Amino acid sequence: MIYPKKNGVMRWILKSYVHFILKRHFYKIDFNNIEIEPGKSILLIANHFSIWDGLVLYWIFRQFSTKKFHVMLLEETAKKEPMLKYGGALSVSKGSKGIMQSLDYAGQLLADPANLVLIFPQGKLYSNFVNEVHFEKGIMKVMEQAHGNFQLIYAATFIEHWQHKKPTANIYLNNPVNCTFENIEALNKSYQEHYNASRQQQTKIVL
Amino acid sequence: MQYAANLLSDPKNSVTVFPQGELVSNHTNEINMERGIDYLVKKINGDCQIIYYSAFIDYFESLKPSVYFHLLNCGTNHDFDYEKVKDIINAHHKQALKNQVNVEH
Repeated sequence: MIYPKKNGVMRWILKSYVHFILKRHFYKIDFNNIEIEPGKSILLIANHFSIWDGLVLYWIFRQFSTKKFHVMLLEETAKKEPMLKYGGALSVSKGSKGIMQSLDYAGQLLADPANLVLIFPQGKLYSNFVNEVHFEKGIMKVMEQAHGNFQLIYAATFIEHWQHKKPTANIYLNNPVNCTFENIEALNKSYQEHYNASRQQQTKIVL
Repeated sequence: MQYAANLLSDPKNSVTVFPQGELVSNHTNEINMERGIDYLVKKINGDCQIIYYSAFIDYFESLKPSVYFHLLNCGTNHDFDYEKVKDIINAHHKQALKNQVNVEH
C-alpha cells in the first residue's frame, strides 16, 4: 500500500501544477457551494470517468475548505503517478489482502476532523455517460470504520465542450440528509438519486 | 437551405447538418430534430445518402479526450420520412449511449 506523504515543498509544487493544468485545459469549472459542517471530517463520494475528476475535486475543495485532501487510488495509478502521494493519495489494490489495510486507513483518516477523503466507489474508470453508477462494497468498510463521524458529500461531474474549444466541467455537490446506510445497496441508491438529478440538470443546459 | 440542397444534389459533395438547431448537452437522451431537415432533404434533386451520428467525448485513462462516433445509415433522400427518421435517430441515440458505456478504451 502507498501512503500519503507529508512534504510542504512537494505539496506546493503539486498544488501549483494542478492549478496550472486545470487553467490550461478547462474553459470553466462550475460547481455549487455547499455548507461545510465544522468539527467533522469529509467523506467525498464521486463518479469516476477520467484523471481530471480527481484533480478538479482537489481544486474545488481547496476553494472552500481547509481540510487535508486525501484520495483513494488504485495501486497501479498511484505507482504510475508517484507525485500524487504528496497531494494525499493513498492506494488500494483490488482483490488483494492489502485492500482491508487501505480501507481501514481511509476510515482512520476520517476519524480526524481535519481530513477529507475522496473515494470513487465505482472502483475503476467508466464512461461519463453511464446511466447507473455501480458501487463496489469497500466503501461500506470505510464508513463503518469512521463510525459516522464525518460529513458525507456527493459529487457528480460532467465534462462538456459547448461552444468553446476547451471543455467546461460541471460539478454538482450535495449533502445527503441521511449519512447512515444499512448496506451498500442503500448507499448506492442514495448516490444514484443525486447522480440522476445532476444529470437531469446538466441536460437542461441549452445554448 | 436551398443552397445546401443544391450542394447535395451533386454526388461529389457532403454537407453536415446539426438538425437540433442549438447546442444541447452531450448527455441528453432525446434528440430534438427541427423541421428544417425535412425541407432540405425534399429539395435535393438527385441521390443522397443520409447518415446520422451520435458523438460522445470521453476521457478514460487519458488527459486528452477521445471522441467516439456511433454511425447510423438513415437511407436516402428518396425514402426520407421526417417522423420515421426522427424515431430511428432517437432509438439509435439511446442505444449509442448504452454502447458508449462498454466502448473499448
